[in-house]
Amino acid sequence: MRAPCEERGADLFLLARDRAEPDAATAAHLAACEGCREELVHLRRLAGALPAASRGLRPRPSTKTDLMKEVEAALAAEEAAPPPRRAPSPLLSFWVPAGALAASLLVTVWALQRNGTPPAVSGAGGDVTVRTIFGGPALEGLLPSGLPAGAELAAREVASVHLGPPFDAEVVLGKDARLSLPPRPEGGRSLRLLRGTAWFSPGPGAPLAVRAGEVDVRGSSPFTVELRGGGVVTAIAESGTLAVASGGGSVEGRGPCRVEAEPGGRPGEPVPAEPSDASAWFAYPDLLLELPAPAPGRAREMVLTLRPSVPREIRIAPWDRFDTLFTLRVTHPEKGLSDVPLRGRAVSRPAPVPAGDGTFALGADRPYRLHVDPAALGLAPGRYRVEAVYAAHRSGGTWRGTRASNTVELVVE
Amino acid sequence: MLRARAGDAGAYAELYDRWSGPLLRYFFHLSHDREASEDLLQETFLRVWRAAPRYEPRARFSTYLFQCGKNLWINERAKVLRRPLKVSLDAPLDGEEDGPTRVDGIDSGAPLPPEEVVRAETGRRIREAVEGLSDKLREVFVLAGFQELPYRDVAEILGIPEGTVKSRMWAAVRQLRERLGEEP
Repeated sequence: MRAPCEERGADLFLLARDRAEPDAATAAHLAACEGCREELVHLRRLAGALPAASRGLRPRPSTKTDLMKEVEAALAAEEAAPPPRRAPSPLLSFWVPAGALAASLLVTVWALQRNGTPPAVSGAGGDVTVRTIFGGPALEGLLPSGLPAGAELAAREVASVHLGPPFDAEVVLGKDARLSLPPRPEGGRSLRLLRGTAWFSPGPGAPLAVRAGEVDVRGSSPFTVELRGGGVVTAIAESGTLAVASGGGSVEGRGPCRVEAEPGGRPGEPVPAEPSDASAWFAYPDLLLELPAPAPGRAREMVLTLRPSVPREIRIAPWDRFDTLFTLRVTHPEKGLSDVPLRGRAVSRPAPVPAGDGTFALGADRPYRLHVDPAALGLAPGRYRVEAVYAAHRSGGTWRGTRASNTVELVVE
Repeated sequence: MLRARAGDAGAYAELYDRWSGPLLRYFFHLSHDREASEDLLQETFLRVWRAAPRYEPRARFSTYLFQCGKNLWINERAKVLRRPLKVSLDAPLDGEEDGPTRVDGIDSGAPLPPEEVVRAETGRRIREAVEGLSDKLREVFVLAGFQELPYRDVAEILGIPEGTVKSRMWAAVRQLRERLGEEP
C-alpha cells in the first residue's frame, strides 16, 4: 500500500463525502497515483459510515413549540406596547430606544484596543478586567476582556459591562456612548465619558469619579452622567452623595437629585430628580441571596429575593428560561471568578409570572423570589463565594440596569 | 431570513425546520450531551430571532447560523462539558416524542435486529473517535464531515483560512482512520 499525497487529502475526502466525480486533473492524478486511489476507497467507507454517528438525532418537537411561543409572545408584546403618553425627556428617551431594542436584547460592546485588533472572546489579565454581563455580544464575537488600561469602550447598542479592579463598578453604556479607561497607575479609579450617556454603579469601596467633557462627577451610589453637545452635563444620583465640579466651582447633593453643569460655569444647585425623567430607570431592586436550611426531605436551595430599593412599586423584567437576567458570580479560591448564567435547569421553583406587559410589579409586600438548585449549576466540588447579578434589558419602560446581591458561601459536595 | 427579519414568524419557523436538525447534530457532536444540545439549539435560534432586525445577508444563512452556534458554544462549552452527563431512561431514543425509549428496551427484552446493532456500534465508535480529536480538529471535522459544509463556509464560520481548514480536516481524517481501523 502506498501513502496518499498529503496535499490532496482534504480534497479526496470531499470527493468521497460528496460522492462526486473527480474533475479532469484529479482523475488524471488518481489514475497515476495508487496511494490516492486506495485512500479514496477508505475515505468513501468512512464518509458512508458517518451518518450512523448521529442517526435518529432530531430536535424534539417541544423545542420548536417552546421557541415559537417565545417568538409569538415577543411579537404580541411589540404590537401591544402602548404609545408614550408624552414626549419623553432626553434622558428617558435615551434609555428607551424603540424598535431595534424592542426586538433585540442584544448587548454589543465594541472594545477599541489600541492595536486595533478585535478583543478576545474570553480571558482576562492585565491591569483592568472588563467583562460583559450579558451573553449577547457572543453573537458578534465582540466580547471585550482583558483590555489594557487606557482602552476605550464604545457601545453600539445599550451595553452593560463589569469593570474589575480598581473600579469594581457596573457600567451601562447607552447607545453610541464612549468611555475611556484611564492609564494606570496615575489614573486611579477615574473614568472618562467621551460621548453619550452612561450609568455607573460603584462597588462598595470608594466613590467612583467620572470626567465628562470638562466636568467632574463623583458618586457613591448608582448615578448617571449624560454628556451633550457643547459639553453640557447632566448628572443624576439615585442615592448617596453626588459631587459635581466644573471650572466655575463645585456643588454636592444627596440622591435622588439632579445636577446640570456647563463647562467653565458653576454647576447648578442639586434639584430633586423628577420621576418623569428618571424614576423609570434609576430605581433598582435590592437583591438578597440566601442559603436557608432545607426543609425536611428536600434538597438545599439558594433563594434569590428582589425587593424595591425605594419606597414605592417598581417594575422589573422577570426571569425567563431564555434570558439569563440573573447571573451568578462564582469565585473559587484557586480557580478564580466565573459567571454562571441562571438557566432553566438550575431554577427549581420559578418566580411568579409577569403581567401581560411582560413586567413584574415589585413592591415591598410583593417580593420576587427565585429558587435555585445549587446542584444544577455544574460546579465541581469545592467551596465557593457566590453573588447574584441582576441585569435587565427590556423595552417599553421596563427597568433596566444591573445590581449585585450580597455574597454567600456555597459548599458543593 | 429576510422575511423573518421583517417579523414573519412563519418564515422563521421554516428556517427552523430546515436547519434545526443540522444545528442539533452540530452541538451534539461537540458536547455529546443531548439535553445541552437541545438547549443550545433553542438558544441559538432565539438569538437569531432577536438579532433578525439587524441581519444583513452578507453570507449564506447557514454560515451565519453556525457562526452564532459556534459563538454560543464557545461561551457555554466549559459549563456544558463539566456538567455530569445525564442519560434519560424515558426520553425517546430517536428524537420523536412517541419513539421508543431505553425503558422500552429494558422492558421488552427483545434483541435489536443485527443490522441495527452494527449501525449503533459503528455510530458509537465514530462518536468516540471524534471525541478523541483535539478541539481544533474536531470543530473542523464536525462542520465539514458531519455537516458536510464546504471548506470555504467552514473557514468563514471558524474565522480561519481555508487552507487551515483543509490541513486540519486532513489531520482529523487521518487520526480517525487510525482509531477506527479499516472498517469504520
